[in-house]
Amino acid sequence: MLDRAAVARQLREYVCRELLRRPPESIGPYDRLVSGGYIDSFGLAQLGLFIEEAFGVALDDADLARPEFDSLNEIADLVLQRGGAVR
Amino acid sequence: MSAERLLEHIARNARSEPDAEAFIFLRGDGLERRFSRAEFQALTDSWASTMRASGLGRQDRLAIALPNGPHAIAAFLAALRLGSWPALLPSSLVRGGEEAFVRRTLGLSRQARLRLVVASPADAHLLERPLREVGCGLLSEPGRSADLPASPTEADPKLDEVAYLQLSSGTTGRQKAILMPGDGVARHLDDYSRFLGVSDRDVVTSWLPLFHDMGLMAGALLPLWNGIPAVILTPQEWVRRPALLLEALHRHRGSLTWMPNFAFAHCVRGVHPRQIQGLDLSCLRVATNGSEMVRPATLEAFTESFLPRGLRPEAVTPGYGMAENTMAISSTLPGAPPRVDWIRRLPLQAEGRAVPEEPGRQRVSGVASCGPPIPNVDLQIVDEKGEPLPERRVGEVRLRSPYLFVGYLDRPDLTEQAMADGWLRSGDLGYLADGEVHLTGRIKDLIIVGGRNIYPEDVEEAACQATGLRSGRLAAFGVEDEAAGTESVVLVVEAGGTARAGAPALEAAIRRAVWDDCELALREVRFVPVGWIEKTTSAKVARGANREKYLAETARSSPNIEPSVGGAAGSSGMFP
Repeated sequence: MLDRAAVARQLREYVCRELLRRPPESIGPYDRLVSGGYIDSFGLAQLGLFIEEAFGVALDDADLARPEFDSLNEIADLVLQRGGAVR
Repeated sequence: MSAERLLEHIARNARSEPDAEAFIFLRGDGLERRFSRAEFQALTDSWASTMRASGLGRQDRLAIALPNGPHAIAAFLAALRLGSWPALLPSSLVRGGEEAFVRRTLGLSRQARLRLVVASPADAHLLERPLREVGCGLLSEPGRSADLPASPTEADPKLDEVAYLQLSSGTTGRQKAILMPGDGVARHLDDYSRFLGVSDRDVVTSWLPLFHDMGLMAGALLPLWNGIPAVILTPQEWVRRPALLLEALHRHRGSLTWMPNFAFAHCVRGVHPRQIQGLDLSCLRVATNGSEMVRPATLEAFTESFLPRGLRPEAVTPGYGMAENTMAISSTLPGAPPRVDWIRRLPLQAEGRAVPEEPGRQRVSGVASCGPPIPNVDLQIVDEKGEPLPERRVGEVRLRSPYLFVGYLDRPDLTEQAMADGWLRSGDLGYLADGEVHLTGRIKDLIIVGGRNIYPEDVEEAACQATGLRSGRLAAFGVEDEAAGTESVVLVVEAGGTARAGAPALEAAIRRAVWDDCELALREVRFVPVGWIEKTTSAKVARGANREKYLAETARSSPNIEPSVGGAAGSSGMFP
């Protein structure tokens, strides 16, 4: 069973390793990644692809453009809503 | 009217074959909108009569802030017909959303004293009130004219050769607008199209934003000039789904495309093999890599990824261009595969000499050739005194051509700085080898992130405003982001003991401000002790020196990582 914390943790690992290149503890679950100036639209696109691969959910353009697609927790919620599963 | 030759040529193409396809505008959901040449002329006519009825006239300045689509191009051409000076701007769909859109558009209307803004019906309501307050008009649909306020500027007969404004860089209120010569642009389209061997069998495919100089030329003017179809995507959809470009190339048999280096990397990283199963890219004849440093690793990765899909290795075409020269300066010859010049790193760093070496040896850097200058471009490499240098010696690139810019709008000081004895000082560093241009770095402090020009002072200024720190205590500079195939921006901040305790909050405030003002995500905000930042003798922040210091510290703290980008062009050592 996949819970929010587990999804957020996996997202955080990816975001910190691949997009920000900084230690995982430097980003909190509520930090605003997009509107807070951490990742740009290219980072967002990479993150979208990662989510589709890692959790097997389909995201459309509108999902990535939503203002709620911002913090790790918010993104994790969306993944769970779409029935994401660890592959 | 200075764009006469360009407009006449386009009109002649439309008359000769009115039913031929001019544009196919694609949307991510698969919908497409097609225009024949005659239909596109009709759309342009309708914008022109609306603008004329609104009172727009010669040398009036206007911004066209429409999404990538038919109206942006038609409104632009319509404004050219009236002899007014259009500048293409982003709509609210790109970078930063509605808030940034309003700030950007209003900022330009004040700075450039615009008489008119053209925005989409969806965006227009955001601008109605603020534009009225600054005395600027607003149009959102062809056929719906509006009485424009009196023109805030007067026509200058000395500037009759100017056709339009090309925005090149700068944050809100400090945009650099290039005065583009109408005849020069037509001549450039002619020369460059011949160089590429453009024929009526060619099809252009472009995802580039039309407000970008390469986007306007490649996506609109070059296809219109040559009477060949252009398949246009939107940048925001392409960024999220880079496979869209490859699908469009396949489906419409696209033969020509242009994009910055990072976009080639994005196609490699952002496309899943299953998305491109069954695609045939053998139709692609020239995929120009331009508008930022060409990275050899990106060329290799792109070719390797798409070879199985029929990509011809010689289609990948490194080039060098600048809006100040309309578009292209040099380009690899069509049909020739990209070339990488392998040189020894030490003589390059120490003496600015490009000494050839076998690839794969230690301390060897690969520099992509950007090909020979296109015909009618004179190019020199010069030393600090402006004396020409022989081949394989690094110096500043200077050029002369029939299509040089007229100047920067309302900034004669900047125009003067950019020129030396009739030559344009590019601010780029490079060398010639076998007559081909090889770029190694930059004299100017400019940072190019994904083909977009960023001035470090704008980033520092935004951070100062947000934190109250004095300007000498911050330094912004670009570092190579090898995976993304472009530069990313680091900000070093001197913070005393008390400020460092609040570092996370300070960092958040800085990031937010830089995002808002420059629409940029910083790669790192690094706090350093007071006194860390290197200054020049005139007490200015020495960005190059600070960059070196940052890279050296980064290398020491994580010795397994080579910070200076693996030696591709643009690696740290190539900056003087």
